[in-house]
Amino acid sequence: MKIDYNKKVMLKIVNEKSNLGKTSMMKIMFILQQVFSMKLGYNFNIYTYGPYASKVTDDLEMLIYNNFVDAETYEYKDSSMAYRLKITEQGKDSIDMLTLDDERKISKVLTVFGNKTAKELELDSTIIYTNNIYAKSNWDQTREEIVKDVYELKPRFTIETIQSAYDSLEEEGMLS
Amino acid sequence: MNSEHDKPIKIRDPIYGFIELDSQEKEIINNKYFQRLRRIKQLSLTEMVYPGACHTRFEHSLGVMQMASDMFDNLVKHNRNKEILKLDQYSIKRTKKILRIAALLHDIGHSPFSHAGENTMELLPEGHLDLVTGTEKYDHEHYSKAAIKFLFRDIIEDHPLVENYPISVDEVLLLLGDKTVRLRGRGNLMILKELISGQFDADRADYLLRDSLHLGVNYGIYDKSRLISCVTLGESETGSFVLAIEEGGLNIAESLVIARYQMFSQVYFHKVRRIFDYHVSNTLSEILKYLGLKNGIFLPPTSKENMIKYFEFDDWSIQGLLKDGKGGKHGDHILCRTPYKKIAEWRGDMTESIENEIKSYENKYSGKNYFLDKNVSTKWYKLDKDIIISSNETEKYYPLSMKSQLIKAIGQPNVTRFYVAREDL
Repeated sequence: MKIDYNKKVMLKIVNEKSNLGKTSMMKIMFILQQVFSMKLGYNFNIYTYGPYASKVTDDLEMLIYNNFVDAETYEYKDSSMAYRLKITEQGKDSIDMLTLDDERKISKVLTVFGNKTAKELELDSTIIYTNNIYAKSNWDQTREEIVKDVYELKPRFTIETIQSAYDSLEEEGMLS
Repeated sequence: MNSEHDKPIKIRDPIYGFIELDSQEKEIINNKYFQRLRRIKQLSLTEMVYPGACHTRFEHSLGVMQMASDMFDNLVKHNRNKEILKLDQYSIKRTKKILRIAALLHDIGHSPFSHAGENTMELLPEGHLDLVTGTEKYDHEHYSKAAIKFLFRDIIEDHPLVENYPISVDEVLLLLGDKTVRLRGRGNLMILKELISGQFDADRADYLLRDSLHLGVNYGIYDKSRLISCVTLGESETGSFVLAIEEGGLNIAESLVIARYQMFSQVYFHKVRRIFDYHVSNTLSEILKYLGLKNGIFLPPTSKENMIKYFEFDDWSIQGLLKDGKGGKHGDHILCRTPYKKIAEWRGDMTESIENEIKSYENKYSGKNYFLDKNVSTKWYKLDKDIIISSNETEKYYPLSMKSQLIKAIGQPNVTRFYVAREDL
């Protein structure tokens, strides 16, 4: 299989950060495109589970199907199951050099977001998505308004938690 | 007492038996822009391969409304789901109404020849929320949303039937994924968005059955009643609420995915069907040029005037001009049913050796009429997000692919084909 740019980026991420879940991969790809302007060409839409682009799933499934990445099952809560990703030997052999700039971006994203849970990443990416829509639509881009919208999408988080996540993202320079 | 005009009507449908419409829905379907869907075939020129494929976007739209409505009714039978969706008796009626209208109008913006006509749409302008690479075009969904905004607002917001529970165009658009609409207290609608665009949404659920029926194939068949009765809300691994299938319906989730896979691999990806999409796209562009549309593309869906002009086009108007010989050489291929012939096909993912073979074909037929159909799998079929299986009693959730070896084994049907005009062979 020919590994295109997007899949090269995915392989790099799985190699650097083992045990990421599929959801986390989705959100990291979103952040790379949205915040770090990597030209991945995904069209993200917002759902209750945060930004989602079916093409990201396509690309990841292609890597799994062709045995570049292994999707292991694991129990995350009382018999509820999900997948976590690991690079295979074939995947390791196929890792290609990216540009220095891309490597730097991936490294930065993994430093800031790599140790977050899928739940935290989902919240962060939802804040980033909402902030971007506000900016592009010239809406009143205040912390209060954005937090309110995010709370509507993710009512299981408290307003305070969302505010705190917003502040951390702003501090890290992740909100334009 | 209701006047004759206010009475609900029932329309006979081959999938659901009867579809009932209230007076507002009746007014929507009687609108001339909705009636236009009677003149847009669901599957473009698939009839060239499967002669029964003459059904239209009109009946599919009615079907999606019925399917979404049935799924919603089942969803809100359970108190837990009602609580998650924050729905009481009043808001159930209102939300169902918004959902039915969104489903009914989800395809209103299709161009002549449905998806095959989408190549003749303008590039998204700078600043558009869906612009990512700079090469994205408008699609029928953009036209549907524009039609709802510019041409259906009065019927949706001012109809006497919704006087007591006002609904808004923005709410309908939220369900259709319009990024330009603010949530403003309507976040619960975002879960229901999955009934219109999700893993087992009403659109897919309807077209699989309807297309199978009209084409005379059995690939897309699944147990509709069982699917509807198993729709519920589950949780993703992050605790977000998602549309899910009850654990007892694992088999129906499996059969739906298989039905979709088979329909794509056997029907939608059919080699002759695909090449007719190419001929249709070129013919349409030729005819639009003949009609004076710049670059042979439709006007963008950015104003009421543009939408009215766009809606003047349907399969009939284009086919009339095609029959009069205005479709150029691709039009002739359609009229005489002499599509380009497939001379090579590669299955599986792209490799360097496949790329080299393709190059050699391109060199061989350089200067002649050929078409390379790449990435067939990414056109319509998506493996997509897993279906979440939910055991509500134990609050246990897992993806379908984890329990189904069959689903796990389904690959992405990647096909690349090389076609050449018969006269150039």
